[in-house]
Amino acid sequence: MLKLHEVQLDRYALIAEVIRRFEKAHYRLGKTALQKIVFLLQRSCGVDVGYSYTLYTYGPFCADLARDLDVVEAFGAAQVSYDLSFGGYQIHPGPANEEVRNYAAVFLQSISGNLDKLVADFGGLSAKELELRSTLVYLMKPSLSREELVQQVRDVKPHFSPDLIATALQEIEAKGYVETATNGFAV
Amino acid sequence: MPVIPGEKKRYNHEDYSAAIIRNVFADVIDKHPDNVHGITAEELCAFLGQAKPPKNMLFWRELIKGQMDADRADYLLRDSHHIGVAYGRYDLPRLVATLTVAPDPETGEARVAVKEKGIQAVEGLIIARYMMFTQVYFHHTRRAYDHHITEVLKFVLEAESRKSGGQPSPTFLPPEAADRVSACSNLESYLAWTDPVVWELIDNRRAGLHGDLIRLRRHDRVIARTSATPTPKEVLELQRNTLPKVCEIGGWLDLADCAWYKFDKAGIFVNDGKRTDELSHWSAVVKGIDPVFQARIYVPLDSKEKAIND
Repeated sequence: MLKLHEVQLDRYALIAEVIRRFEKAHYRLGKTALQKIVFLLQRSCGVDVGYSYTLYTYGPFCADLARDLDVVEAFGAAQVSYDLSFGGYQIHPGPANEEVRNYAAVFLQSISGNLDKLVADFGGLSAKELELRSTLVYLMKPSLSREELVQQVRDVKPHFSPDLIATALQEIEAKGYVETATNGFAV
Repeated sequence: MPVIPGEKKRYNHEDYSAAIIRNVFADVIDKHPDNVHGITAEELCAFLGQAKPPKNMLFWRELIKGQMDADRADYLLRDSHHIGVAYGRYDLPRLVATLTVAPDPETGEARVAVKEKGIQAVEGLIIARYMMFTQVYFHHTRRAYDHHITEVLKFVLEAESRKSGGQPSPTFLPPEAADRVSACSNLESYLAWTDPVVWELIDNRRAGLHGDLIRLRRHDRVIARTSATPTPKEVLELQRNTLPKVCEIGGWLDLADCAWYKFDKAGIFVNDGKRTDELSHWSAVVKGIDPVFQARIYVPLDSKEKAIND
Protein backbone atom coordinates (compact mmCIF):
# COMPACT_ATOMS: atom_id res chain seq x y z
CA MET A 1 0.00 0.00 0.00
CA LEU A 2 1.38 3.40 -0.92
CA LYS A 3 1.85 5.91 1.87
CA LEU A 4 0.36 9.37 1.74
CA HIS A 5 2.88 12.12 1.05
CA GLU A 6 5.27 9.83 -0.70
CA VAL A 7 6.36 10.45 -4.25
CA GLN A 8 4.51 7.80 -6.20
CA LEU A 9 7.38 6.71 -8.36
CA ASP A 10 5.97 3.19 -8.65
CA ARG A 11 3.05 4.61 -10.59
CA TYR A 12 5.15 6.70 -12.95
CA ALA A 13 7.59 3.85 -13.49
CA LEU A 14 4.71 1.47 -14.20
CA ILE A 15 3.31 3.79 -16.87
CA ALA A 16 6.78 4.15 -18.42
CA GLU A 17 7.23 0.36 -18.37
CA VAL A 18 3.86 -0.36 -20.04
CA ILE A 19 4.78 2.16 -22.75
CA ARG A 20 8.19 0.51 -23.27
CA ARG A 21 6.73 -3.00 -23.45
CA PHE A 22 4.07 -2.06 -26.00
CA GLU A 23 6.70 -0.33 -28.11
CA LYS A 24 9.02 -3.33 -27.92
CA ALA A 25 6.23 -5.70 -28.93
CA HIS A 26 5.18 -3.35 -31.78
CA TYR A 27 1.68 -2.94 -30.35
CA ARG A 28 -0.16 0.34 -30.55
CA LEU A 29 -0.69 1.94 -27.12
CA GLY A 30 -3.37 4.60 -26.80
CA LYS A 31 -4.83 6.27 -23.74
CA THR A 32 -7.69 3.75 -23.53
CA ALA A 33 -5.34 0.78 -23.74
CA LEU A 34 -3.13 2.19 -20.97
CA GLN A 35 -6.16 2.68 -18.71
CA LYS A 36 -7.39 -0.86 -19.27
CA ILE A 37 -4.01 -2.58 -18.96
CA VAL A 38 -3.34 -0.92 -15.59
CA PHE A 39 -6.88 -1.77 -14.48
CA LEU A 40 -6.38 -5.45 -15.36
CA LEU A 41 -3.01 -5.42 -13.61
CA GLN A 42 -4.66 -4.18 -10.41
CA ARG A 43 -7.85 -6.19 -10.52
CA SER A 44 -6.82 -9.46 -12.11
CA CYS A 45 -3.16 -9.68 -11.12
CA GLY A 46 -3.52 -8.19 -7.64
CA VAL A 47 -0.84 -5.52 -8.19
CA ASP A 48 -2.31 -2.59 -6.26
CA VAL A 49 -0.71 0.74 -7.10
CA GLY A 50 -3.62 2.61 -5.53
CA TYR A 51 -5.55 3.69 -8.62
CA SER A 52 -9.27 3.90 -7.99
CA TYR A 53 -11.39 3.07 -11.03
CA THR A 54 -14.95 4.11 -11.73
CA LEU A 55 -17.17 2.52 -14.36
CA TYR A 56 -18.34 4.71 -17.24
CA THR A 57 -19.97 3.86 -20.56
CA TYR A 58 -16.41 3.64 -21.93
CA GLY A 59 -15.40 1.09 -19.30
CA PRO A 60 -13.34 1.42 -16.12
CA PHE A 61 -11.51 4.76 -16.01
CA CYS A 62 -9.20 6.40 -13.45
CA ALA A 63 -8.72 10.18 -13.60
CA ASP A 64 -5.54 9.94 -11.46
CA LEU A 65 -3.97 7.66 -14.06
CA ALA A 66 -4.89 10.10 -16.85
CA ARG A 67 -3.20 12.88 -14.89
CA ASP A 68 -0.17 10.71 -14.10
CA LEU A 69 0.32 10.14 -17.83
CA ASP A 70 0.54 13.92 -18.19
CA VAL A 71 3.21 13.95 -15.46
CA VAL A 72 5.13 11.09 -17.10
CA GLU A 73 4.98 13.02 -20.37
CA ALA A 74 6.28 16.15 -18.59
CA PHE A 75 9.14 14.04 -17.17
CA GLY A 76 10.05 13.15 -20.74
CA ALA A 77 9.30 9.46 -20.25
CA ALA A 78 6.39 9.43 -22.71
CA GLN A 79 5.54 11.07 -25.99
CA VAL A 80 1.82 11.35 -26.56
CA SER A 81 0.73 12.30 -30.05
CA TYR A 82 -2.52 12.37 -31.92
CA ASP A 83 -2.64 10.02 -34.86
CA LEU A 84 -4.86 11.64 -37.48
CA SER A 85 -4.94 8.55 -39.68
CA PHE A 86 -6.15 6.40 -36.81
CA GLY A 87 -8.30 8.94 -35.00
CA GLY A 88 -6.75 8.34 -31.59
CA TYR A 89 -3.68 8.76 -29.43
CA GLN A 90 -0.35 7.01 -29.70
CA ILE A 91 1.95 6.79 -26.73
CA HIS A 92 5.65 6.14 -27.31
CA PRO A 93 8.64 6.11 -24.94
CA GLY A 94 10.31 9.48 -24.43
CA PRO A 95 14.03 10.14 -23.88
CA ALA A 96 13.69 9.86 -20.07
CA ASN A 97 11.74 6.59 -20.18
CA GLU A 98 14.61 4.49 -18.85
CA GLU A 99 15.46 7.01 -16.14
CA VAL A 100 11.89 6.97 -14.77
CA ARG A 101 11.73 3.17 -14.90
CA ASN A 102 15.00 2.96 -12.99
CA TYR A 103 13.52 4.85 -10.04
CA ALA A 104 11.32 1.81 -9.30
CA ALA A 105 13.38 -0.99 -10.83
CA VAL A 106 12.76 -3.41 -7.95
CA PHE A 107 9.00 -2.91 -8.14
CA LEU A 108 8.98 -3.37 -11.91
CA GLN A 109 11.05 -6.53 -11.57
CA SER A 110 8.52 -7.90 -9.08
CA ILE A 111 5.62 -7.50 -11.53
CA SER A 112 7.51 -8.42 -14.68
CA GLY A 113 5.70 -11.76 -15.08
CA ASN A 114 2.30 -10.07 -14.75
CA LEU A 115 3.18 -7.52 -17.40
CA ASP A 116 4.53 -10.23 -19.73
CA LYS A 117 1.19 -12.01 -19.56
CA LEU A 118 -0.95 -8.87 -19.89
CA VAL A 119 0.93 -7.61 -22.92
CA ALA A 120 0.86 -11.05 -24.55
CA ASP A 121 -2.86 -11.53 -23.83
CA PHE A 122 -4.17 -8.05 -24.56
CA GLY A 123 -1.49 -6.09 -26.41
CA GLY A 124 -2.86 -6.92 -29.85
CA LEU A 125 -6.46 -5.95 -29.07
CA SER A 126 -8.15 -2.75 -30.19
CA ALA A 127 -9.26 -0.13 -27.67
CA LYS A 128 -12.84 -1.26 -28.13
CA GLU A 129 -11.99 -4.92 -27.49
CA LEU A 130 -10.00 -3.99 -24.39
CA GLU A 131 -12.87 -1.89 -23.16
CA LEU A 132 -15.28 -4.83 -23.37
CA ARG A 133 -12.91 -7.19 -21.56
CA SER A 134 -12.08 -4.73 -18.80
CA THR A 135 -15.79 -3.98 -18.30
CA LEU A 136 -16.40 -7.72 -17.90
CA VAL A 137 -13.67 -7.92 -15.26
CA TYR A 138 -14.98 -4.78 -13.52
CA LEU A 139 -18.50 -6.18 -13.19
CA MET A 140 -17.48 -9.71 -12.16
CA LYS A 141 -18.70 -10.74 -8.74
CA PRO A 142 -18.65 -14.16 -7.10
CA SER A 143 -22.43 -13.90 -6.69
CA LEU A 144 -23.09 -13.52 -10.43
CA SER A 145 -23.65 -16.36 -12.89
CA ARG A 146 -22.19 -16.13 -16.41
CA GLU A 147 -25.57 -15.22 -17.86
CA GLU A 148 -26.12 -12.49 -15.28
CA LEU A 149 -22.69 -11.04 -15.98
CA VAL A 150 -23.30 -10.98 -19.73
CA GLN A 151 -26.61 -9.21 -19.09
CA GLN A 152 -24.94 -6.65 -16.80
CA VAL A 153 -22.35 -5.85 -19.46
CA ARG A 154 -25.10 -5.58 -22.04
CA ASP A 155 -26.88 -3.05 -19.83
CA VAL A 156 -23.73 -0.90 -20.00
CA LYS A 157 -22.90 -1.63 -23.63
CA PRO A 158 -26.18 -2.40 -25.45
CA HIS A 159 -24.49 -2.27 -28.87
CA PHE A 160 -22.45 -5.40 -28.06
CA SER A 161 -24.41 -8.57 -28.84
CA PRO A 162 -24.80 -11.18 -26.06
CA ASP A 163 -22.82 -13.60 -28.24
CA LEU A 164 -19.90 -11.20 -28.59
CA ILE A 165 -19.87 -10.52 -24.83
CA ALA A 166 -20.05 -14.26 -24.08
CA THR A 167 -17.16 -14.94 -26.47
CA ALA A 168 -15.02 -12.26 -24.81
CA LEU A 169 -15.89 -13.76 -21.44
CA GLN A 170 -14.86 -17.23 -22.56
CA GLU A 171 -11.60 -15.81 -23.85
CA ILE A 172 -10.62 -14.08 -20.60
CA GLU A 173 -11.79 -17.09 -18.63
CA ALA A 174 -9.52 -19.35 -20.69
CA LYS A 175 -6.64 -16.99 -20.01
CA GLY A 176 -7.23 -17.21 -16.26
CA TYR A 177 -8.58 -13.71 -15.57
CA VAL A 178 -11.91 -14.85 -14.15
CA GLU A 179 -10.51 -17.01 -11.37
CA THR A 180 -8.15 -14.30 -10.18
CA ALA A 181 -10.80 -11.57 -10.23
CA THR A 182 -13.70 -13.41 -8.61
CA ASN A 183 -12.73 -16.97 -7.69
CA GLY A 184 -15.20 -18.22 -10.27
CA PHE A 185 -18.89 -17.86 -11.03
CA ALA A 186 -22.02 -18.56 -9.06
CA VAL A 187 -23.67 -21.79 -10.15
CA MET B 1 -11.75 8.19 7.16
CA PRO B 2 -11.91 4.60 8.50
CA VAL B 3 -10.69 1.59 6.54
CA ILE B 4 -13.38 -0.40 4.71
CA PRO B 5 -13.72 -3.80 6.46
CA GLY B 6 -11.89 -6.50 4.50
CA GLU B 7 -10.24 -4.01 2.14
CA LYS B 8 -7.06 -1.96 2.08
CA LYS B 9 -8.91 1.18 1.02
CA ARG B 10 -10.53 3.81 3.20
CA TYR B 11 -14.05 5.15 2.84
CA ASN B 12 -14.21 8.43 0.93
CA HIS B 13 -16.60 11.35 1.18
CA GLU B 14 -18.72 9.91 -1.62
CA ASP B 15 -19.33 6.76 0.45
CA TYR B 16 -20.64 8.99 3.25
CA SER B 17 -22.81 10.98 0.82
CA ALA B 18 -24.30 7.77 -0.58
CA ALA B 19 -24.97 6.44 2.94
CA ILE B 20 -26.63 9.72 3.94
CA ILE B 21 -28.89 9.62 0.86
CA ARG B 22 -29.75 5.97 1.55
CA ASN B 23 -30.37 6.27 5.29
CA VAL B 24 -31.52 9.85 5.82
CA PHE B 25 -33.06 11.15 2.60
CA ALA B 26 -34.47 7.99 0.96
CA ASP B 27 -38.10 8.58 1.93
CA VAL B 28 -37.99 12.26 0.97
CA ILE B 29 -36.52 11.50 -2.47
CA ASP B 30 -38.59 8.41 -3.26
CA LYS B 31 -41.90 10.00 -2.23
CA HIS B 32 -41.33 13.59 -3.30
CA PRO B 33 -44.22 14.94 -5.43
CA ASP B 34 -41.77 16.65 -7.81
CA ASN B 35 -39.93 13.38 -8.51
CA VAL B 36 -41.94 12.80 -11.69
CA HIS B 37 -39.22 10.68 -13.32
CA GLY B 38 -39.30 8.15 -10.51
CA ILE B 39 -35.59 8.47 -9.69
CA THR B 40 -34.94 6.50 -6.52
CA ALA B 41 -32.51 7.17 -3.69
CA GLU B 42 -30.80 3.85 -4.45
CA GLU B 43 -30.16 4.99 -8.04
CA LEU B 44 -28.59 8.21 -6.77
CA CYS B 45 -26.38 6.20 -4.39
CA ALA B 46 -25.25 4.00 -7.29
CA PHE B 47 -24.10 7.11 -9.18
CA LEU B 48 -21.86 8.16 -6.31
CA GLY B 49 -20.26 4.79 -5.59
CA GLN B 50 -18.19 2.37 -7.61
CA ALA B 51 -21.14 0.09 -8.46
CA LYS B 52 -22.92 -0.04 -11.79
CA PRO B 53 -25.90 2.32 -11.90
CA PRO B 54 -29.20 0.89 -13.16
CA LYS B 55 -29.72 0.13 -16.84
CA ASN B 56 -29.34 3.03 -19.28
CA MET B 57 -28.24 5.46 -16.57
CA LEU B 58 -24.48 4.94 -16.68
CA PHE B 59 -23.93 7.67 -19.26
CA TRP B 60 -25.10 10.32 -16.78
CA ARG B 61 -22.34 9.40 -14.32
CA GLU B 62 -19.99 11.68 -16.28
CA LEU B 63 -22.10 14.65 -15.20
CA ILE B 64 -21.75 13.67 -11.53
CA LYS B 65 -18.23 12.27 -11.52
CA GLY B 66 -16.29 13.30 -14.60
CA GLN B 67 -13.76 15.83 -15.87
CA MET B 68 -16.49 18.44 -16.44
CA ASP B 69 -18.92 17.35 -13.75
CA ALA B 70 -21.32 19.53 -11.77
CA ASP B 71 -18.93 19.73 -8.79
CA ARG B 72 -15.98 20.88 -10.89
CA ALA B 73 -18.18 23.37 -12.72
CA ASP B 74 -19.37 24.77 -9.41
CA TYR B 75 -16.41 24.85 -7.02
CA LEU B 76 -14.20 27.23 -9.03
CA LEU B 77 -16.90 29.91 -9.19
CA ARG B 78 -18.05 29.38 -5.61
CA ASP B 79 -14.52 29.44 -4.16
CA SER B 80 -13.55 32.51 -6.22
CA HIS B 81 -16.57 34.35 -4.93
CA HIS B 82 -16.02 33.49 -1.28
CA ILE B 83 -12.25 33.97 -1.32
CA GLY B 84 -12.51 37.24 -3.23
CA VAL B 85 -10.29 36.35 -6.17
CA ALA B 86 -11.12 36.43 -9.87
CA TYR B 87 -8.91 33.52 -10.92
CA GLY B 88 -11.68 30.91 -10.89
CA ARG B 89 -14.19 32.75 -13.06
CA TYR B 90 -15.14 31.37 -16.46
CA ASP B 91 -18.19 31.38 -18.71
CA LEU B 92 -20.32 28.59 -17.23
CA PRO B 93 -23.55 29.38 -19.17
CA ARG B 94 -21.62 29.26 -22.47
CA LEU B 95 -19.97 25.99 -21.47
CA VAL B 96 -23.32 24.40 -20.60
CA ALA B 97 -24.88 25.73 -23.82
CA THR B 98 -22.17 24.09 -25.92
CA LEU B 99 -22.18 20.66 -24.24
CA THR B 100 -22.94 17.74 -26.49
CA VAL B 101 -22.68 13.96 -26.70
CA ALA B 102 -19.95 12.64 -28.99
CA PRO B 103 -18.21 9.35 -29.76
CA ASP B 104 -14.97 8.61 -27.94
CA PRO B 105 -12.11 8.95 -30.46
CA GLU B 106 -10.64 5.56 -29.57
CA THR B 107 -13.68 3.38 -28.90
CA GLY B 108 -16.72 5.17 -30.30
CA GLU B 109 -18.50 5.08 -26.92
CA ALA B 110 -20.76 8.02 -26.06
CA ARG B 111 -19.06 10.74 -24.01
CA VAL B 112 -19.89 14.19 -22.75
CA ALA B 113 -18.04 16.65 -24.99
CA VAL B 114 -18.04 20.32 -25.98
CA LYS B 115 -18.98 21.58 -29.42
CA GLU B 116 -16.28 23.38 -31.41
CA LYS B 117 -17.88 26.74 -30.70
CA GLY B 118 -17.43 26.07 -26.96
CA ILE B 119 -13.64 25.72 -27.13
CA GLN B 120 -13.01 29.16 -25.63
CA ALA B 121 -15.45 28.45 -22.79
CA VAL B 122 -13.72 25.17 -21.94
CA GLU B 123 -10.29 26.79 -22.30
CA GLY B 124 -11.55 29.32 -19.75
CA LEU B 125 -12.49 26.46 -17.43
CA ILE B 126 -9.05 24.83 -17.67
CA ILE B 127 -7.19 28.10 -17.22
CA ALA B 128 -9.41 28.94 -14.22
CA ARG B 129 -8.67 25.49 -12.77
CA TYR B 130 -4.94 26.02 -13.29
CA MET B 131 -4.99 29.50 -11.75
CA MET B 132 -7.06 28.45 -8.75
CA PHE B 133 -4.81 25.46 -8.20
CA THR B 134 -1.57 27.38 -8.28
CA GLN B 135 -2.81 30.56 -6.56
CA VAL B 136 -5.31 29.17 -4.05
CA TYR B 137 -5.64 25.40 -3.54
CA PHE B 138 -1.90 24.71 -3.59
CA HIS B 139 -0.86 28.05 -2.06
CA HIS B 140 1.90 27.32 0.45
CA THR B 141 0.11 28.86 3.44
CA ARG B 142 -3.24 27.25 2.64
CA ARG B 143 -1.58 23.84 2.33
CA ALA B 144 0.00 24.33 5.77
CA TYR B 145 -3.48 24.87 7.21
CA ASP B 146 -4.75 21.75 5.41
CA HIS B 147 -2.09 19.86 7.34
CA HIS B 148 -2.98 21.48 10.66
CA ILE B 149 -6.75 21.02 10.31
CA THR B 150 -6.20 17.35 9.41
CA GLU B 151 -4.18 16.90 12.60
CA VAL B 152 -6.83 18.80 14.58
CA LEU B 153 -9.55 16.46 13.31
CA LYS B 154 -7.50 13.39 14.20
CA PHE B 155 -6.99 14.79 17.72
CA VAL B 156 -10.62 15.72 18.38
CA LEU B 157 -11.99 12.50 16.87
CA GLU B 158 -9.65 10.44 19.01
CA ALA B 159 -10.64 12.43 22.10
CA GLU B 160 -14.32 11.93 21.26
CA SER B 161 -13.97 8.18 20.76
CA ARG B 162 -12.10 7.91 24.06
CA LYS B 163 -14.84 9.90 25.79
CA SER B 164 -17.57 7.63 24.44
CA GLY B 165 -15.70 4.58 25.75
CA GLY B 166 -14.86 3.16 22.32
CA GLN B 167 -11.52 2.13 20.89
CA PRO B 168 -9.53 5.40 20.48
CA SER B 169 -9.59 6.18 16.78
CA PRO B 170 -8.58 9.31 14.84
CA THR B 171 -11.28 8.72 12.19
CA PHE B 172 -15.01 9.28 11.74
CA LEU B 173 -17.35 6.37 12.46
CA PRO B 174 -17.89 4.24 9.32
CA PRO B 175 -20.88 5.04 7.07
CA GLU B 176 -21.91 1.39 6.97
CA ALA B 177 -22.80 -0.91 9.86
CA ALA B 178 -24.34 -4.30 10.48
CA ASP B 179 -27.80 -2.78 10.96
CA ARG B 180 -29.58 0.37 9.85
CA VAL B 181 -29.90 1.80 13.37
CA SER B 182 -26.12 1.64 13.91
CA ALA B 183 -25.46 3.09 10.44
CA CYS B 184 -27.86 5.99 11.13
CA SER B 185 -26.22 6.59 14.50
CA ASN B 186 -22.76 6.69 12.87
CA LEU B 187 -23.99 9.11 10.19
CA GLU B 188 -25.62 11.33 12.80
CA SER B 189 -22.30 11.53 14.61
CA TYR B 190 -20.49 12.28 11.31
CA LEU B 191 -22.94 15.05 10.39
CA ALA B 192 -22.56 16.61 13.84
CA TRP B 193 -18.91 17.47 13.07
CA THR B 194 -19.72 20.86 11.61
CA ASP B 195 -17.31 23.78 11.13
CA PRO B 196 -18.66 25.68 14.19
CA VAL B 197 -18.17 22.60 16.41
CA VAL B 198 -14.52 22.23 15.35
CA TRP B 199 -13.87 25.98 15.56
CA GLU B 200 -15.28 26.09 19.06
CA LEU B 201 -12.89 23.33 20.14
CA ILE B 202 -9.99 25.24 18.58
CA ASP B 203 -11.11 28.49 20.24
CA ASN B 204 -11.41 26.76 23.60
CA ARG B 205 -7.94 25.26 23.30
CA ARG B 206 -9.31 21.72 23.17
CA ALA B 207 -7.94 20.83 19.74
CA GLY B 208 -4.36 19.93 20.65
CA LEU B 209 -1.09 21.42 19.45
CA HIS B 210 -2.28 21.96 15.86
CA GLY B 211 -5.42 23.69 17.10
CA ASP B 212 -3.20 26.13 18.98
CA LEU B 213 -1.05 26.69 15.88
CA ILE B 214 -4.18 27.59 13.90
CA ARG B 215 -5.55 29.84 16.66
CA LEU B 216 -2.25 31.71 17.04
CA ARG B 217 -1.55 31.67 13.27
CA ARG B 218 1.81 30.03 13.92
CA HIS B 219 1.50 27.63 10.99
CA ASP B 220 4.37 25.52 9.68
CA ARG B 221 6.65 27.18 7.15
CA VAL B 222 8.22 26.06 3.88
CA ILE B 223 11.99 25.57 3.98
CA ALA B 224 12.55 23.85 0.63
CA ARG B 225 10.65 23.33 -2.59
CA THR B 226 11.04 22.04 -6.11
CA SER B 227 10.09 23.94 -9.25
CA ALA B 228 6.43 23.75 -10.36
CA THR B 229 7.17 20.99 -12.87
CA PRO B 230 10.26 19.32 -11.48
CA THR B 231 12.27 16.42 -12.79
CA PRO B 232 11.92 13.16 -10.85
CA LYS B 233 15.48 13.69 -9.66
CA GLU B 234 14.56 17.04 -8.12
CA VAL B 235 11.65 15.54 -6.19
CA LEU B 236 13.68 12.57 -5.02
CA GLU B 237 16.46 14.87 -3.84
CA LEU B 238 13.92 16.61 -1.62
CA GLN B 239 12.33 13.41 -0.39
CA ARG B 240 15.47 11.35 0.22
CA ASN B 241 18.02 13.98 1.24
CA THR B 242 16.21 16.95 2.78
CA LEU B 243 13.16 15.32 4.41
CA PRO B 244 15.06 12.87 6.69
CA LYS B 245 17.05 15.78 8.14
CA VAL B 246 13.90 17.56 9.36
CA CYS B 247 11.64 14.63 10.25
CA GLU B 248 12.73 14.68 13.88
CA ILE B 249 11.70 18.31 14.32
CA GLY B 250 8.26 17.67 12.80
CA GLY B 251 9.11 18.32 9.14
CA TRP B 252 6.79 16.93 6.48
CA LEU B 253 6.61 16.64 2.71
CA ASP B 254 3.71 18.08 0.74
CA LEU B 255 3.01 17.12 -2.85
CA ALA B 256 0.71 18.81 -5.33
CA ASP B 257 -0.61 15.35 -6.03
CA CYS B 258 -2.05 15.14 -2.53
CA ALA B 259 -4.03 18.39 -2.80
CA TRP B 260 -7.81 18.08 -2.51
CA TYR B 261 -8.52 19.53 -5.95
CA LYS B 262 -5.79 18.59 -8.37
CA PHE B 263 -5.04 20.35 -11.60
CA ASP B 264 -5.69 18.15 -14.59
CA LYS B 265 -6.67 18.77 -18.18
CA ALA B 266 -7.00 15.26 -19.62
CA GLY B 267 -10.32 13.70 -20.55
CA ILE B 268 -12.14 16.78 -21.88
CA PHE B 269 -13.34 16.23 -25.44
CA VAL B 270 -14.27 18.58 -28.27
CA ASN B 271 -16.43 17.61 -31.23
CA ASP B 272 -16.57 19.59 -34.47
CA GLY B 273 -19.47 17.67 -35.92
CA LYS B 274 -17.17 15.15 -37.62
CA ARG B 275 -14.44 14.23 -35.20
CA THR B 276 -13.93 14.11 -31.43
CA ASP B 277 -10.53 14.86 -29.92
CA GLU B 278 -9.12 15.79 -26.56
CA LEU B 279 -9.10 19.51 -25.84
CA SER B 280 -5.31 19.72 -25.90
CA HIS B 281 -5.44 18.68 -29.56
CA TRP B 282 -7.57 21.73 -30.35
CA SER B 283 -6.08 24.26 -27.98
CA ALA B 284 -2.46 25.37 -28.02
CA VAL B 285 -3.17 27.26 -24.78
CA VAL B 286 -4.21 24.10 -22.93
CA LYS B 287 -1.53 21.99 -24.59
CA GLY B 288 1.08 24.42 -23.30
CA ILE B 289 0.06 24.15 -19.64
CA ASP B 290 2.29 21.65 -17.88
CA PRO B 291 0.96 19.50 -15.05
CA VAL B 292 1.81 20.91 -11.61
CA PHE B 293 3.90 18.46 -9.64
CA GLN B 294 5.58 20.64 -7.06
CA ALA B 295 6.86 19.24 -3.77
CA ARG B 296 7.56 21.26 -0.62
CA ILE B 297 9.01 20.60 2.81
CA TYR B 298 7.48 22.29 5.84
CA VAL B 299 8.80 22.58 9.38
CA PRO B 300 7.29 24.10 12.56
CA LEU B 301 7.78 27.87 12.74
CA ASP B 302 9.96 27.60 15.86
CA SER B 303 12.34 25.24 14.07
CA LYS B 304 12.57 27.13 10.80
CA GLU B 305 15.85 28.91 11.49
CA LYS B 306 17.49 25.74 12.81
CA ALA B 307 16.30 23.72 9.81
CA ILE B 308 17.61 26.28 7.33
CA ASN B 309 20.97 26.64 9.09
CA ASP B 310 21.47 22.88 9.46
